Amino acid sequence: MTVEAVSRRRWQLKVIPWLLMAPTMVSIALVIGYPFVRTFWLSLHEGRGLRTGAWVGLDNYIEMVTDGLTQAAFVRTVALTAVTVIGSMVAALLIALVLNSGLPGMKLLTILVVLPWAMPRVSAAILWKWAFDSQYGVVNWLLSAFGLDMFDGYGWFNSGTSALVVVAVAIIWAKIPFLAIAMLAALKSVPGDIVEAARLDGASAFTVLLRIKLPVMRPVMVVLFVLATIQAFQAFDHIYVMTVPPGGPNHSTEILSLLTYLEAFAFLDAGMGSALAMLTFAVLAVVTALYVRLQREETR
Amino acid sequence: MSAVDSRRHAGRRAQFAKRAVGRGLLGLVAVGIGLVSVFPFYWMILTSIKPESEIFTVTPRFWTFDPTLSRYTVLLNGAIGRQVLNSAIVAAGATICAVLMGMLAAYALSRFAMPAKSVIAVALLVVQMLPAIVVVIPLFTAYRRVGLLNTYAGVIIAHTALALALSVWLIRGFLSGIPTDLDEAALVDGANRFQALVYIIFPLALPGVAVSAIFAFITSWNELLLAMTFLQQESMKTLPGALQQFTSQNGTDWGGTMTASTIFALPVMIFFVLIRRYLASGAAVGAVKG
Repeated sequence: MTVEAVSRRRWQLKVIPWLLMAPTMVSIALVIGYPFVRTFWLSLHEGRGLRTGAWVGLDNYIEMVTDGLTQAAFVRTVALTAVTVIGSMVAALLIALVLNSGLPGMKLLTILVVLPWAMPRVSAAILWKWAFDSQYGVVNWLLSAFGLDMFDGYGWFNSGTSALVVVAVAIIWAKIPFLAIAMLAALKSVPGDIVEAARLDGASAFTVLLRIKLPVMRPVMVVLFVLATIQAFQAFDHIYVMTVPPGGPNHSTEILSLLTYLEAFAFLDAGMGSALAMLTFAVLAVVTALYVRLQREETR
Repeated sequence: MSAVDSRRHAGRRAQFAKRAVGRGLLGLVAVGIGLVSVFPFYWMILTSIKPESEIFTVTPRFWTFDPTLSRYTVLLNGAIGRQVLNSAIVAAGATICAVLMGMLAAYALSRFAMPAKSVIAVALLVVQMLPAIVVVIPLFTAYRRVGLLNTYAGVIIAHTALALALSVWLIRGFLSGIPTDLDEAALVDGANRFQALVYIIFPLALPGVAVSAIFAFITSWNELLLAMTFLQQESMKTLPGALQQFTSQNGTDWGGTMTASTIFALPVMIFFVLIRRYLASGAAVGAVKG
């Protein structure tokens, strides 16, 4: 090979990968990068419809922080995130432990547990709304059948708190499959002979879980926890579909993502909508930074 | 037989009984878990085929002797038929774009020495975590300016970007499992890079490509926020947005809603049965939106 051919080949090796990466990078830059910068820019302006109005600096942010409805929506978003993340993590862990118990039929049960993963979010949200219907819902019937008469004809969607309980149930149900399957994989990596030895020494199942299984599962659990938090914080579909009108009754189920959408597309104030979007981004950026750091520690 | 022996015997029997009770309880819990997982599906499908008079009963009916498919024929001949088609076009378009671009990028990341390779890979994951709500407002105005509102192309482009990062990660994972000797041998034999990719790598990475295609399809098929913002014309709506139309001020048409939800859920359920073996690898990547 001549010197020229070698240098040409070297040049090719440098350029080809960037050509291959180009479609991915360009489309992400156009669809995510550019709009993200625009959102930040818009948040510093008055929103005139969806047009960029006059420069207002941090006014939108100040209004956002001092607005009672936004404060309530922020607290609600944090609470809903906490409840759904903790609820789904605990439920998924219990389910993973049962699936790992070695009882007959666990292979079949694993398939059943995965099933809700296949239910589209909007379908599932509507289904849960139907199940919690005040008059004909199967949940009220079941609760009354157990003697809880107060639930006979109980209107779950008449108050914000009870509506959020239903939304949380729907979100937790949807989250469990992915978490349970990932935790099951982690449980399977716990060395069986150590568990066996501990049991022979008289350790209870709970001690084994606390002292042996959970420490082994820790890295996986941490990553799942962070991922679940990121997803829960940006939940939109369930609230939008289940509450009537979205965020109602009387603003009592509004969360950040919904408020962002309403500000921009219903109240036509893109400036305020963008400021809210940046607030969501800021929270998620902190959580994501934490995730990347944890990932790096794992791989090291 | 000594007293010690019989006492030990009793102790073992008590332990055995305790374990049997424990297993019984565990079995009960397992049945409960199965029910909670499956019942919603059963209830959705059952409601969709019940006659109207059996849907609205104070004591729920858990079986029907009078099933009807009339809601399916009515819906599929109406607007929903068109909306199923819209969803399919958008999801198929986004899947093809995401997988093709993802394959090229994954090939670059797994077979070339690139500076800042790991930074790019992590950046892709971080991008994946940006919520759609952060980009939807400017994207809407930009689409309006260039005429991409109420077009398939507009939503396909947006959904492609949503699914792309995961697509790259999944395919890259499968590519790194294929020995580089194989494509180097092809290169030595005179094939060019493109031929090596198409004839050697692609067939071997097919399972990974299939999994990422299905994940991309489900991402797009499920997506509500961007689709309903960009497609507001009735004839262009996709299923997640269209499902809203069953609820009005006067209440909800539950039979119709459950029928449309079943139609909407069916393709995804079929896909899940097909890929259940690969789900764990998707879970391992850990970036599945859900």
